[in-house]
Amino acid sequence: MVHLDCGAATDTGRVRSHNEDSYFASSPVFVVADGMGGHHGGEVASAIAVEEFGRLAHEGYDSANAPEVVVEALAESQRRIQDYGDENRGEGEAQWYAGTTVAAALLCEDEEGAKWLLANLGDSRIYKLHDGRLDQVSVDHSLVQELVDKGEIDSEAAAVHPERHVITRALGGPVLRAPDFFVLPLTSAERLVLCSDGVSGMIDDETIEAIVSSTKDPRDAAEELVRAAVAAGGEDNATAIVVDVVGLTETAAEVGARTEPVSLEEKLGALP
Amino acid sequence: MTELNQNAIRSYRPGGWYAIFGEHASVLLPESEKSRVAGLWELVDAGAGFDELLDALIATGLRTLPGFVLVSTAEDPTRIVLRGAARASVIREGGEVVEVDGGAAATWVERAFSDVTSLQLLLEDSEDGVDYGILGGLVRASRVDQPPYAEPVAEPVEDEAADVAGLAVVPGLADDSAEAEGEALSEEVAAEQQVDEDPVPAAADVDVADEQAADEHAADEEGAAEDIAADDVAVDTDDDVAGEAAADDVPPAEDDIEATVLDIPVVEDEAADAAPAEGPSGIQGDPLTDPIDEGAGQYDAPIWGQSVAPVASSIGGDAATGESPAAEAPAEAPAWGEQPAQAPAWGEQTGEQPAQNAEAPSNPFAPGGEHVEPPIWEPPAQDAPAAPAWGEQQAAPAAPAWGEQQQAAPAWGQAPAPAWGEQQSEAPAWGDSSDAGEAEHDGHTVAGSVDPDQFVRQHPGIPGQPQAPSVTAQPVARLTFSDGEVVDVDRAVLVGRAPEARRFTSTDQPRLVTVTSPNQEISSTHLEVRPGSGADHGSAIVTDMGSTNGTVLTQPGFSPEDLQPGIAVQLLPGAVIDLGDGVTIQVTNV
Repeated sequence: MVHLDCGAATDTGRVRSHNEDSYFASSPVFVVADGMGGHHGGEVASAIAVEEFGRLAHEGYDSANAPEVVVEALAESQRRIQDYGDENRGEGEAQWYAGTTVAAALLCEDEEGAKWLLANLGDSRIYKLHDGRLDQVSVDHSLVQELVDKGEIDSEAAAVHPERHVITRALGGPVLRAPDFFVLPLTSAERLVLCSDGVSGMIDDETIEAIVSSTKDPRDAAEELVRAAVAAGGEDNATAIVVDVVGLTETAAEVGARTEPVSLEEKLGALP
Repeated sequence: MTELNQNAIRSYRPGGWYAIFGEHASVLLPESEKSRVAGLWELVDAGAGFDELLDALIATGLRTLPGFVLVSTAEDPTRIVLRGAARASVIREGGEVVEVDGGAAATWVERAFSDVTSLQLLLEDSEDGVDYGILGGLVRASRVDQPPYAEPVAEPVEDEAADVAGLAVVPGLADDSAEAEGEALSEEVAAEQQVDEDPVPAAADVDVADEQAADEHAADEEGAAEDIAADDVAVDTDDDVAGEAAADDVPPAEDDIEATVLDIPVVEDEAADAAPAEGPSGIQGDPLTDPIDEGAGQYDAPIWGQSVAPVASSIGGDAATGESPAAEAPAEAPAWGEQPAQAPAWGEQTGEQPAQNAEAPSNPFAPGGEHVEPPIWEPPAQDAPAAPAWGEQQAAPAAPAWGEQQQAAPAWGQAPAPAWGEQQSEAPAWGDSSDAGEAEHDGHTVAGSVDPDQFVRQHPGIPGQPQAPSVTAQPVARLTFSDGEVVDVDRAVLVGRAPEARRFTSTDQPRLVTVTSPNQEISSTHLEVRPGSGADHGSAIVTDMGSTNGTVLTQPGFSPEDLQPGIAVQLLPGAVIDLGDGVTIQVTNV
């Protein structure tokens, strides 16, 4: 049986007047949403998205169709955000808009065992820690990521690009765009990190790796990430979730398989 | 000197450009675009038409394509699109000579000519050389003549050239003494054409649009047009299959909306010229596109309509790069504001709005009622400053504008520019807060527009060639694993000890096959088998995903080979894939 241990932290940062990030972290659903929009639009949009995913955690979901479940949650969030926008625009604020990014991790169990289903829409990020090494799983839906992909700029230039906060997919836009999905076996990620760009944009991946690989308790790790982001300037709202997969060992079958007879080549000492 | 195949319908003079001649259309690409040639040749050889080729040419963005020539040859009128250095001279029935220069527009120049008797394409400066006749195929050329170039030296043909329609020789080129005359003639004709024979009937567009509006379209026409509108709004460049389906759907209705479809390039050129020439046109995506519902309209036939979006995006991008970070939000506006910009045009086209009405429609996105639209952000009435922009454009004397453009691109920058400028300054619908003073506050994480295709994982295939769909209707192969498991390849299949699936959408979810590997010889995500595209279409291809211990592939009739990580190899029926640790996969037909 898999047990998930998690911690989360958020901070308004040093520049913003209020926090538009929202998060939900309760097994088996983990979400970070980075809102955007005038007045409190961003806050509301990210809260809506997080609420819809939180509903999944409370009501349960069908692991076999998890991508569809996520798409439904996103579509419902989209609908509510647009309704909210219509309301506000109806009150005379013509330019009003609200949107949010979503980075989500759902635990899914099927006949093959437990897996992570990760979903991303926007530039909040999902990292995994495996064997002490940090690996960014999600791919940002951002302008700079496109430029990086095209080879026009490198990741160093991307980090200081004036348009690095311009995202290309989000909830709340004219059309709901498809999220990216990722499936990871639990065994390939002892620790997952979800964070808004207020963290990944303020501290580099090496710093994130150093923090999450050296901080044992996930609660401490999440707080340390946010603290470091704020210390590095805190130009944006910073939010981090750290999830540990606890008590995960190799399955009995795998352990048993190791004791099975070695291959003929191995016996003969003919291995390359 | 001149060696011509008697059957040849055209001739070429050897040079650097790649010339791909097909039954329905021909494509010519400069030397630098070698990587595209194979894919285009495959398309052309398969009988691709003008629109299909244009789609393929601009699929990766216009900015990456310094020049090209696309000519339809199977139909009348003859359509020519030029970009970059190439020039064309066309002789029409009656002896009119029209010169078209690809460098005359920032994007491209499109012309259509009826009753063409002779067409000559000058791709690069070429010395006198030997002309070869050619029916179809792929050659390298510096100029192309259709019908085949006839050496004018032997006979004094100068006089005839002026009189005889259909002669393959452009007078100005045949003889120096005739050159001045020829040029004068060209200019005269070109000038005349601006008014009389503009192949892109901009003036007619307005008339037709007016007429349509006034006439109160028949109900079915309205429906058809609205369907198109919906399709266009919901373009999905992510999904090739659906895209093709939509493309098939569109043409029947195209006649009904011709006026609008043709209008759109007008704006496109305006926008392009108003913007600095080298905008980030790689950002070609339409933020309105890529709906999550694959049922909605996709990458469809009237690509003219789509091309508005990329240009609009690049304006946004330009403005953004030129401004301080704090101003990035407004700069994004046009990208998200595209939809309002387009909407009034469609509204007019369906007859709901009079074409002359420069007022914003109260709700340009109000669905027609019955037809289903993807989730669309509906801008409020007062949030449509784009509408006046379009209105202006329509009210403006479109014909002269087009005429000017034929001679000199700068004419374009004038009238339209303010329209777009207005939109930029007044319609920061997305990515901008209502209170600009809070830009600092909202400066982070703003919405923008980028081509979603940029993020699609690159599958192996031929450059310029549409990728195979991620999920095929029929499996292309069957995999039988040594443990007895059978998996059909109708989508990507990822095989490994603990396979990970990266970057998929809910509709192209890959299949994960876990194999046991007692000795850990098999990597967690070891290899991928997916339906092939391009030359591999219809068969499965295998790719080693950078496995630690590699993969050995034994194809029937070939000796075993080690797969190179990341390099896709087509699988033949009977192939055996060895992952190590005693795990093999037998490939068979379904």
